[in-house]
Amino acid sequence: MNSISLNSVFFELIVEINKLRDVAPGCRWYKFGSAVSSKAMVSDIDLLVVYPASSDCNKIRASLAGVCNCYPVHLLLMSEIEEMEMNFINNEGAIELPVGS
Amino acid sequence: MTKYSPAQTTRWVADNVSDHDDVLKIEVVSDQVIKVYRQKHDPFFAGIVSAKCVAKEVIEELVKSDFDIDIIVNIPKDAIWVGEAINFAEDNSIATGSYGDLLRVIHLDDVRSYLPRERKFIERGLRQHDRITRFVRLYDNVYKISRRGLPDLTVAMLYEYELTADALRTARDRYGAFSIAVITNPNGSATSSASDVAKNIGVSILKWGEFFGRLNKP
Repeated sequence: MNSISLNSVFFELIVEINKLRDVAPGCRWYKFGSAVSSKAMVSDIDLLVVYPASSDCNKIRASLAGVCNCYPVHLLLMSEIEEMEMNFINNEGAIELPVGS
Repeated sequence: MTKYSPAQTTRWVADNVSDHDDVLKIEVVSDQVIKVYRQKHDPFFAGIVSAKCVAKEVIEELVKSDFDIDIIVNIPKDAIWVGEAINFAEDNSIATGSYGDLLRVIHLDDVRSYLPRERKFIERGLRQHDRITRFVRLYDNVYKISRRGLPDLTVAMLYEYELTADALRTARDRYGAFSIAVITNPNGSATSSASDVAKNIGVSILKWGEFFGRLNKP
C-alpha cells in the first residue's frame, strides 16, 4: 500500500471517528504496526482504540463498518485497563491520531 | 455508515498493487476482477470480495466466471470465511485469502496452490497429531476436530498478539459456539479481561503447545 492511499484510508477513518466522538466519548485512537514502522508496502492498517466502557465496542465497530468493510483495517479494541496491563501503546510505538483537530 | 461499492474497492486494490515492485501493470477487467501482470511470472487473475462473511454464494460467480480466476481475496480484516466457501474454491483449484495474501502470491509462480501461512501451519499441525482422526473447517479459523476415543472439539484459532476481551467476544459473535480458543501467534497472550470473558462464556484459552496437550484429554 503506498503512502498516499494509506493516508486516504486514515483520512476516511478520521472522518468516521469524529462522528463517533459524541457517541463514544473518552475513546483514544492510535495507528500502529507496519503502517507506522515500515516503509515497505503494507498489507493492512492497524488501528487501536482504547475505550473506557465495554458498551463502546459495538458502537465503534458499527460506525467504522463502512470503512473496515472496504479496506484491510485491523481494528484492535482495548479497554483502558487492558492497555495499561499490556503497555501496548509504548511497546508498539503507537501514534495517536489527530482526532477532532 | 459510509458504504462503498465493490468497484471502488477493486479500484483501490488495483491502485495499490500496481505500486508493488514486481508488478508490471494491473488491468481491472470487471468490478470484482483484476489481472496482475508480473515481472518474473505469468499474469494471474484475482477476484476481489468485500464481505463481512464470505459464504459459498458470495464467491460462486467469481469461481464460475470466464476469467479463470487464480485467487479470491476478501479485503476486510474483520471478516470471516465459511469453511464451505474455502472448500468450494479449493475444489475448483482457486486459492483464497486476504489482501496481504494477494501481495504474497505476486512472488509465486503457482498462485492457485497458495495456502495462507496461518492455515498451512494450523492444518499441518492438526494432520500430524496422532490423536486427531479428522478435522473439518467450519470457518477460516474454526475447526471441528474428531479424536480417537475422545469427544469432538470445536476450536477457534486466533492469531492474536494480544487477545483482548473484545476480540474474544467478537469471535464468539461471528463464529458461534466453540470450547477452546487457541492463540496461534507464538508471541501472543491474553489479557486478564479476556480470561474473565472466557470463563463467562465457557471457553478455555490455550497457547498452541498447550492445545496439543489438551487434545489428549477428555
